[in-house]
Amino acid sequence: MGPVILGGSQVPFRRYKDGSGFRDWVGLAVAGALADAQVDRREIDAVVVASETDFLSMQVSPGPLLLDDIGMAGVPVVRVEAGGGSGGAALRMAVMHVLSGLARRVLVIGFDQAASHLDAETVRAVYGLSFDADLEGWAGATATMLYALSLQDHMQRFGTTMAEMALVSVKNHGNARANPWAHAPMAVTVAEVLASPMVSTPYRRLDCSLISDGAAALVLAHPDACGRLDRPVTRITGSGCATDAMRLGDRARPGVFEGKRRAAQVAYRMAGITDPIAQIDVAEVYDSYTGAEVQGIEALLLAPEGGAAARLRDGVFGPQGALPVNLSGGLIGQGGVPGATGLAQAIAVSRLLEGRYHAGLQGGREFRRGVIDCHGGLATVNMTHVLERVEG
Amino acid sequence: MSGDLALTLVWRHGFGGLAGYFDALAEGRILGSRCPECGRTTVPPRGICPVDGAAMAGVALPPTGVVVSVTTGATSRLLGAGVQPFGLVRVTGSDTCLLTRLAMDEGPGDAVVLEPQGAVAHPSQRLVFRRQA
Repeated sequence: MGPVILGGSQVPFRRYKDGSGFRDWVGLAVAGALADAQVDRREIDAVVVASETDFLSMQVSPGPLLLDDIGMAGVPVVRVEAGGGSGGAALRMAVMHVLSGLARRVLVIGFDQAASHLDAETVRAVYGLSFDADLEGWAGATATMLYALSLQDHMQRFGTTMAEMALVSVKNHGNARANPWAHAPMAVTVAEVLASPMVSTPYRRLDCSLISDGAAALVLAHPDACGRLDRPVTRITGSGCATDAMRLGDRARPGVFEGKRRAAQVAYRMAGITDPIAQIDVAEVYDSYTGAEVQGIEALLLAPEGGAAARLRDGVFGPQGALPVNLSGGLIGQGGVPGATGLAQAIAVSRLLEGRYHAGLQGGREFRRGVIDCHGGLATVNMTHVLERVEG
Repeated sequence: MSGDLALTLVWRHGFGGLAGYFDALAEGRILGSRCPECGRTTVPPRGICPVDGAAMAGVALPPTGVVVSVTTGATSRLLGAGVQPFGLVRVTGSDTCLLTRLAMDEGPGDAVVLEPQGAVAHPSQRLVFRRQA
């Protein structure tokens, strides 16, 4: 019997230039989450906080600071990080709290001040250190370079093309147009993606997700501690985490996200899913780059190996497709806040399952079961969660 | 209200088990490791075999290899400004690939040789491969 997502909220992912900071965004996200969950902060008995790195916030040990800010000093708090998958790791930590009996209602907070705090070159250098710092980051390699080398292996192995990858950018920027929380809503064409400036071959600017500022929060509860809600809620029925070799060159198939596949298999087994393509209705997949979405869909067993691009072409993962992927816009459209992304994914999918996501994206459709996926590094530490709707 | 804050950090960093590898690079040599159980050979060297968990032994490998893949883009400021190629190179005798900077326009399939760089900010920046003449 998995924990229930009672509610959640986020601030729009942006590059904030208004002088606000992560403490403001967390305050807004927490207030929204508690209201959405119909829970008083005095009913929370544990808090999990996620942010990727103190390089971005210049605040060491942000957990107790944030609790003090939001009037919850005295409540136990733990901070987790897993690079870009930090939010997913926080969600998993909250699941552990509930399943172990350590807590009945857990507030999960994710944030990062990733866009407005440091100049782009410094952020690029810091993110390079999230790989093997001594052997890759300090050598001068960037995240985009490593993702590009991984994608090249996928293209060579399966015959996928950059025109197919561009479809991810078109879809996710397009989905973001109906998401008021999104950082990069855009109507773009494949031709425009393929003509955008080169970042690191073969990845161009419109293949890359944005780095954003923001925060998200949600409340997780034991099923016996949900109280009375006047709407359907979402239960987390599966949680998986797995790692891959740290260095791309050590991987036998650099273009295949083996660690992500293992995390998904664990989560699916826990949720009783035996045929993900048939049993998953909607997904939020970690699309730090267009190719990463394609590689991720395959690793999550939502398409056969090498088969995601063809299904993408056929519209399977589009907003009206059989298995919409990244209706929120994903990192490419909604924006990427490392500490908050995993929670924003949970908010998007839980609201989709409950039939109350942004109207233009819900589109009147009903979804029963979804999967959310995020990772740190180059799919090096992976978190997969399965979410299912339950009637209130 | 907002304002710029500046903080300069200088690390005293220990390279531990990688020190020998980095020292060898400076001399144009490549050190790897070999598993006595399964025979797997890796570069950079590692202490524990990822396949069977056995303690690996150091091994000298030729300073040559073959380019597997290449990407060219803006490098991290830790290396310095500019667009440069990086790639995966399979060092001769190794079962794994090495992420490395490339000298110029090397491409997949090219035979390359180590051309160690001096005066670098971090010893990993010594690692550059150039197409063999």
